Amino acid sequence: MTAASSRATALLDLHKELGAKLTNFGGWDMPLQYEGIVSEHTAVRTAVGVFDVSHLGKLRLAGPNAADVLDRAMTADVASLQVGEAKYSLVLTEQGGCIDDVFVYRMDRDEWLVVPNAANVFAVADAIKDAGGAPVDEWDRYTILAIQGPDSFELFEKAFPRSGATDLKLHHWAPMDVFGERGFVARTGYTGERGFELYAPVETSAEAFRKLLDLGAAPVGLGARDTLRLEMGYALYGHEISLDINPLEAGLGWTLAWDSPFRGREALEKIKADGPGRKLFGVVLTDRGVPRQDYPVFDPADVEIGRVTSGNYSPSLGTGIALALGPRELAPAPGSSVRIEARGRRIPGDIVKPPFRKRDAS
Amino acid sequence: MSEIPEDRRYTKEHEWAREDGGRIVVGITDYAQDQLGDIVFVQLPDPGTEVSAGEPLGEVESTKSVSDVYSPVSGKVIDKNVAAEKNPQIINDDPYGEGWLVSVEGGGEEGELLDAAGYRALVEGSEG
Repeated sequence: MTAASSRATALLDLHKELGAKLTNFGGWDMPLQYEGIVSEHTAVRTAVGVFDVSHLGKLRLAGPNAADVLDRAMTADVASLQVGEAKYSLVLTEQGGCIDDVFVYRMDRDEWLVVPNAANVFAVADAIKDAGGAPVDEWDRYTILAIQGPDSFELFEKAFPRSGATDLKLHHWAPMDVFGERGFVARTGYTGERGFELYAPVETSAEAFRKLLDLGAAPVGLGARDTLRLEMGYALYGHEISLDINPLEAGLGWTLAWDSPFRGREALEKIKADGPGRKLFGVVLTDRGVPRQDYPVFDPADVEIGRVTSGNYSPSLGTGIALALGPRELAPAPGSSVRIEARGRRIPGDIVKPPFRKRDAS
Repeated sequence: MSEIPEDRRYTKEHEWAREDGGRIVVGITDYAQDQLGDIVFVQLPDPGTEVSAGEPLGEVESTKSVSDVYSPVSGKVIDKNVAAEKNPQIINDDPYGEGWLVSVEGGGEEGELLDAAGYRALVEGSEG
């Protein structure tokens, strides 16, 4: 594999034309925002937005032993996916720490596509190799466009009539012709809204992106992607999950296929039996302020009960929200009061069970 | 390209100071609000607070990051923009007008302030 620093999205010039502020993600210059994070966030919650998430890795694993390799490398039962299905999974160390979270697509009988976070592509490739596989790096093959929002179905059908995308069930995918080149479309996303992720071949992806914009999709950057996922309580690598945080602490026990031989299982069986050391909880601020990663959380007796893993302003709620991790025995009950210390000021908040934004609230 | 009015002076940290009837009105520049992105929180000192040139007087926070606001002058805070505290978006919309932050009754001492041309050179250096 070549160095990550040499990569660029096929849409970089288009993003610049649109006035995007760029930021570096795993060696890729990607749009952080165009018009502004709040308006882009709102576009996805109320209409439809399109994100370029091409920085996500694309590791193809093929061959008759691929299913066995994935059984060992992935915590979720992805080997038994049907062709046309996809699933969220974790990749763990022997000790049960998280190397990454990924989406896995079964592309064919003996072929899977693993989509890791940009910063973890090499670590995930190594984990697959450790399990006996030979992943092929296809990082540059597709532009990934996430089309998300309540109007995404209508927009997609207009942009790509009769593609079949709108008939797909959640976490299913189908091959798709994208202006003469073969790609695929999946009912996946990271926003909590209905929508698609279009794996558009780099040759024609600019055309696809322009078409979606012309039909009214708002271009949305990675800044709003983060506020959208945070409102849903979705984990982000380096925040809620990391080498130091195991899936049971992060509330991701549902991704573990206990009857498959995944790496880290033995360690997690012991952690499960003993009870995980820490617990993740959600906080909604009741006064003005913005929580940030590593800010301490205090209970009413001024005991530090955890640290913020992700925090930001929630455009949907109009207040600060945070996910925080602390010792399980100190974990506050939903409804109880806490305070988050932000730069010397303690801001009051209430404990809630994520998601912060309930779907029926719209 | 950032807007930089001629009727005021600027700090290197992207605050502006404008004299208005014996008071100094303070805010952040168009460049600063653009760099911050959507401002969602602003913390301002209450009237009566003594502020010092070059020292933080408050903070502005966007969805992206938090920044200290440095006082361009020394003196006592006479007024703060309660509307901006309630609705920080007006700092993005009108950083030199409705989005002002505090007014200070000067003790005379001020930090190293730039005129519009000097500040423009600074900003263009960062943008270039």
